[in-house]
Amino acid sequence: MNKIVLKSLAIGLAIICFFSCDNNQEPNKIEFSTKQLQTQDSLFKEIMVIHDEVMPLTSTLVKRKDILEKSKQKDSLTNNLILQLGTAEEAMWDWMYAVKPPKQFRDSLEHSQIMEYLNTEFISVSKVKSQMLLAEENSNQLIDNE
Amino acid sequence: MNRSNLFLFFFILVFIFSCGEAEENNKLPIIGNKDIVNNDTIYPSIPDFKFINQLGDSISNATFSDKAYVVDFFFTSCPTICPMVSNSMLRVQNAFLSEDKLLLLAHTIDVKRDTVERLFDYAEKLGADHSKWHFVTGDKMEIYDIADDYFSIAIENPEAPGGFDHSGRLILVDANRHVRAFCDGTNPAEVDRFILDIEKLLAEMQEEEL
Repeated sequence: MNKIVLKSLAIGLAIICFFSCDNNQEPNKIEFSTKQLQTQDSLFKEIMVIHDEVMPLTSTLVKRKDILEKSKQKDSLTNNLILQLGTAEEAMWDWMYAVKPPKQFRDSLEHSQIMEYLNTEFISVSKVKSQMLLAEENSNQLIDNE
Repeated sequence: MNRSNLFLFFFILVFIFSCGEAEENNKLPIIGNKDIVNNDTIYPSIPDFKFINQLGDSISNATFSDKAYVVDFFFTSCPTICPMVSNSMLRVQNAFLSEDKLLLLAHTIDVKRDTVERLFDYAEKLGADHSKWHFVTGDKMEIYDIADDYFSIAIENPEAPGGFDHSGRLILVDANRHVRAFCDGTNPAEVDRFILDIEKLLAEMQEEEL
């Protein structure tokens, strides 16, 4: 009888231990190799290099837009340029507000999904860069005339 | 007076004047191009301003009267240099936590997204003392204009590429609204030197009070 009770207790304890250990495991933990982590970080760094190249242009666009808005003679060209400068500046703010580093996704996304996100951001920030440079270039002549 | 006494007298004179000069040199210079008007030397100074801080309180130049303050420009969604610069501001805050003659003033340049609530959350996460470190927002062009005022004084070449919005500079302003020192807030060694500059300015202010 005693043997049966002891056996039952041992089995019960083993079951409890198994389930409690199982509960301590993080659900769906995604593993990344060192190379995958480096690839993600390296691409994010490249994205930030593009951002850093044009970020100082933001204040230039803001000031040029302000000069044109205060201009007494506003034709359609000036109005279009005001719109272009404002849109380009806002595009950079919106992008910065939304972009996230890869580490924020490592609990929920696979490597391929993170790389897909980063590639999309690379294209987005490159577009923002082109938009800002074009707005600056287009405003050069009008600003010189002010 | 014999020759040795004369030499001693001359030596004491040189010693006294060199000490005086050393004390003068120990003061931080006033930065910026000075003008001479009617024999008076005029240094560039920061104009009046009025913004709203993270508590929703009005903050103006009057908030900083009789005080020195450290300025920076940032935005809460900044992905690269702002976190480093804000940490340098935190170092400055913590180095002078009990010093009521020094305040900190951080201006957001993203007034559209950085609301008072967002500034409050940012300040909380950083560990800012809300009575010492003001995170301000306001009219966009007023912030950009005052940034130009601070930076045209503090930067050697205002025409250099790269605006204030990505400079990472910390600027020290005295109670007379003169710029007295600045540093690159992303460079810990420069921030160390900047903290010593703040100590010098506070000592100067204390001396003037006596």
